[in-house]
This record gives sequence, structure tokens and C-alpha cells, in this order.
Amino acid sequence: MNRRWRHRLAVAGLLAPAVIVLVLVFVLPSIDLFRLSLGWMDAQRSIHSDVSLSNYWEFARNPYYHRMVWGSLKLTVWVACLCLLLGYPATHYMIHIESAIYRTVLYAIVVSPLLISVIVRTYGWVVLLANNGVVNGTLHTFGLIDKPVRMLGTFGSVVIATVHVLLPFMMLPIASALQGLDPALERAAQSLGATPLQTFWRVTLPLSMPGVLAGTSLVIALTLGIFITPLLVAGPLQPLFAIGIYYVTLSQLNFPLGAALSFILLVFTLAVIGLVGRLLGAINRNIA
Amino acid sequence: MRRYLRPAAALHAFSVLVYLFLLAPLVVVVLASFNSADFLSFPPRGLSFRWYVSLWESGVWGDSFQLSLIVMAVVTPLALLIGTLAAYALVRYTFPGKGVITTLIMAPMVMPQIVLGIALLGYFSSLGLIDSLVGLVLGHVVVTLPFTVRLVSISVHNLDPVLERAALSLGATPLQTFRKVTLPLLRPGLVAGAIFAAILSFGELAVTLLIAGARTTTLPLRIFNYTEYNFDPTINAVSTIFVLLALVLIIVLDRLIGLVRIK
Repeated sequence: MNRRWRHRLAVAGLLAPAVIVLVLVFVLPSIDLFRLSLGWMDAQRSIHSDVSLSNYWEFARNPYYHRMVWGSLKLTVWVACLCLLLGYPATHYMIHIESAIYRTVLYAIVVSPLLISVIVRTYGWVVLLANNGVVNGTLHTFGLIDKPVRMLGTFGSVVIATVHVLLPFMMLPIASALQGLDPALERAAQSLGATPLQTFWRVTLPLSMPGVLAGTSLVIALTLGIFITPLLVAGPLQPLFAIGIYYVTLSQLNFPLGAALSFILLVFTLAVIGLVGRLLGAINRNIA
Repeated sequence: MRRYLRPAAALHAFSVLVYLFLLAPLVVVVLASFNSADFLSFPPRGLSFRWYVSLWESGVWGDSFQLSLIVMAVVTPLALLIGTLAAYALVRYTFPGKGVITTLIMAPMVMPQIVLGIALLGYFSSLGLIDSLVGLVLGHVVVTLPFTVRLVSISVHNLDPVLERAALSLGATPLQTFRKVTLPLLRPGLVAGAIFAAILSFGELAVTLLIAGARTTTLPLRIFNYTEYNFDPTINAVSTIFVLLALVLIIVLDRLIGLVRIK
């Protein structure tokens, strides 16, 4: 009895600081956000806190917001697919390299973006894609173009920069799943007569699905909420949900509407992740 | 065997391109920082260190640098301490509500960045913490906490409880056991957690952009403001510092826990 009590006290003491900080600086702000989203702003820009669903109604009715949702969905599909298509082969390659030094270097390339501020990485794309930037400069030097091709500000530039920022979040879970895979299983498949392609399709891929699932969900969640990267490469008018929230809140100063949109994005993100989780889970069961 | 050579070569070439894609914007920024031209120009005009000199001599960049270091110096020990205690409880003990607490701790990582930023903007406005050092520190602790918990957890997993029990049964007090056994064995995870907390706080912008202001312009925020409204090649020099810092830390992390184990 005494021991159980001491055990509980230890757990409570160890967790208390984290829980207190998170309740004060994460849970309460989130509840506050929902409460604010029920308020409204009048034409004189004063904010009323009486309960109203006008912001949610505004979202449902105004095609401007529907375009934002559509833009974010489009971006998410592009980014998730590209991250998977680029990330899986590159991770598979990295894991199976013989040379330890070369493998470490590749790992460093994957991990390094986590250690470099998102602003620096995005800024690199501004330098690359600007009208007087590296890509246009190179094309011009080789006489392939006469005047600069506009790349910054386009949807394509947002896709490229976002894939770059989020690729490690796809690759690291896949790497950890591939590492946990017993090489004997692949050898067994091959010795039983499977071709490398069959081995990959029937053994390696299904067994690395947990990593793919984790990576894809993470990339989707992060793409839906990303705003600094699109803001820098494409500006505040790009039709994206997260950019719209930023614009409504900080330029139009309509805080209740911004809060309502934030809340919708949060629910939307959770719904999409849940859906993708079930979908990939079903595919996984079919392959295996 | 010959038959499979070609797909392997294709995978090799494709993968190399992916890694070049990951490196490209970083390499470009570092090279551009030594370009002597006044504006963004490619091909570069000539080699020069003038942007590093102007960075060194400029007051505003220095102020931002100092502020970012101060925030980092407060956030790192806080996030590390809170995160270590939580990691220890989550790995070592089973208790009711463990799943809920784990989700709560990891939630700030998957919460859409803009939503977290807007939530803190509203909350801190009502508390008068916008554009304040306290607000920045609190925001950064919430953002870094999931990472410290995860990295320290790796070391707690590897720490055999038998070692601690042995120390206790040989007559060490709990405090002695903690200092002489637990702490040294947790060291790799603690250092990795500290490095991540420090670097994430130093580079944080998603939350900072919404809760900081004119008096609390951190280094990433100043880069953002400069890139958005005017162009100043000094940004290249600042960014290069970020890249070099990451390079050093990667080597340290690899020595400590092995890059392979970072997830």
C-alpha cells in the first residue's frame, strides 16, 4: 500500500512540471481560441464576445474561403505524394549503403534541415527561384531564356519549397522502419525464388508501412499548417488555408474570424489525418 | 545478377538527386554570402567578406543575435529539465492516463503551426505577454518540449534499472544513486535533448512571428522581416552562420548518440 502510494507520488511529481506548462501554455490557449471564435467583429472593428456562429457561417458561405481550402488540399496532395516518391527510394538507398561514412553523410543531409531554421531554408529557395536568382541566372547564361521566368509567387514554388522543408519528416520515420526490418526476411524471400522486385513489393514495403504511415501523416499535418514558407515564396495572397488565417488575423485584424478559421483548420487536419491513417492501414492489410 | 544492375544504378542516380535537392538551397545561400555584388546576382561578381563585416558592424543584427541567445539560454535548461522528468516518468512507470499525457506532450508538434501561433497570440494578448521575453520563452518551451522528451526517452530506455537498484542495495542514498549512476548514463540523451532544444529555440519562427514584436525581434524574425520587405545580402551571411552551426551540431550529435537514432 505504502509502496503504491510512493509510486504514484513519484509519477505525479515527475510529470507535474510538464503538465502544468502544457495546460497553461497549450490547453488553455486552445480553449481560449475556441471561445474567441464564437465572438464577432462589427464594422467599426470592435470585437464582441457574445456567442454567435457568424464566423463559421461566413466560412461556409464565402467562396473566398472555399478556394483556400481547395488550395491547401491541392498543396497537401502534391507535397505528400512528392515526399513519398522522393523520400522512400532515397531512404531505402541510404539504409542499404555499405560505406559507414557515406551513410553518415547522407543521414546528416537528412537531419540537417531539422537543425536549420525554416526561415533560412526557405530563404535559400528565394535566392534560387527569384527573377534575378540562381536558376534564372543559369538558364540565362546558357542562353536558354531571354527574360527571367517568374517562379516565385507561383503554386509550383510553394510545392517545391514545402517539399524541401518537410522531406526529412517523411524520411526519418521510413528510415527507422527500414532499420528495424530483419534482413533475414528479405534473404529468405530471395532464396525462396522471389525476384528483387517481388521481395520489395511483398516483404520490404509491407513491413516498412508503419514508417510510411507515420511519415505521411506527419507531412500532411505539417503541410496543412505551414505558413512561413508559402508566405515567403508566394506572398500573403496565395490561396492557402494557413496563409488566409494569417492574413485575416494580422492584416484585417479580425481576430474572431481568424480564431474560427484556425479551429476549422485544426478539426480539418485531424479529420484528414484520421482518414489517411485508415486508408493507408487498409492498403497495408491488402498488400500483406 | 547483371539483370538487376540497371535498376540499382537508376535508384542510385535518383537518390543522389534527392540529396542534392535537400542540399541545394543551403549551399546556394552559403556561396551567395561570399558574393561581392550589392544585390542578388548570379553568376557571382567576386569573392568578398563584406557582408560578414557589415553583419559584424550592424547594431540591429547584433541586438537580434543577442536576444536569440538570451531566449535560447533560458529555454534550453527549462525544456530539458521539464522534458527529462516527464521522459523518466513515461518510460519507467505505468499509470492510468499515460496515453493521454503522452498525447498532450507530443501534441504541440503536430498541431498546425499557424493554429498554435494564433492561439498563443490571443491568449498572450489578454495576459499582456505579446512582445515580451516571458511570452517568447513560454512559447518556445512548448514548441521544444516534445523533442526533449523524445530524445531523453531514448537514453532512459537504454538505462537498465538494475544498475540503479544495485547502487541502492550497496548503500548509496537515492540522491547519490541519481548523481553517480542515473545522470551519467543519461548524459547522451540529455546533451542531444539540450542541443535540439537550443537549436529549435534559436531558429523558431512560426510561433515567434505571431507573438513577438518590435522589442523582441529575434534573429529569424529579423531575417523574415528583411526578406519580406527589402533585400539585404547581409541575410546570406546570417544564414550561413545558421548552416555552419548546424554542421557543427550534427557532428556532435553523431558522436553522442549516432545520427541513425534521431527520429
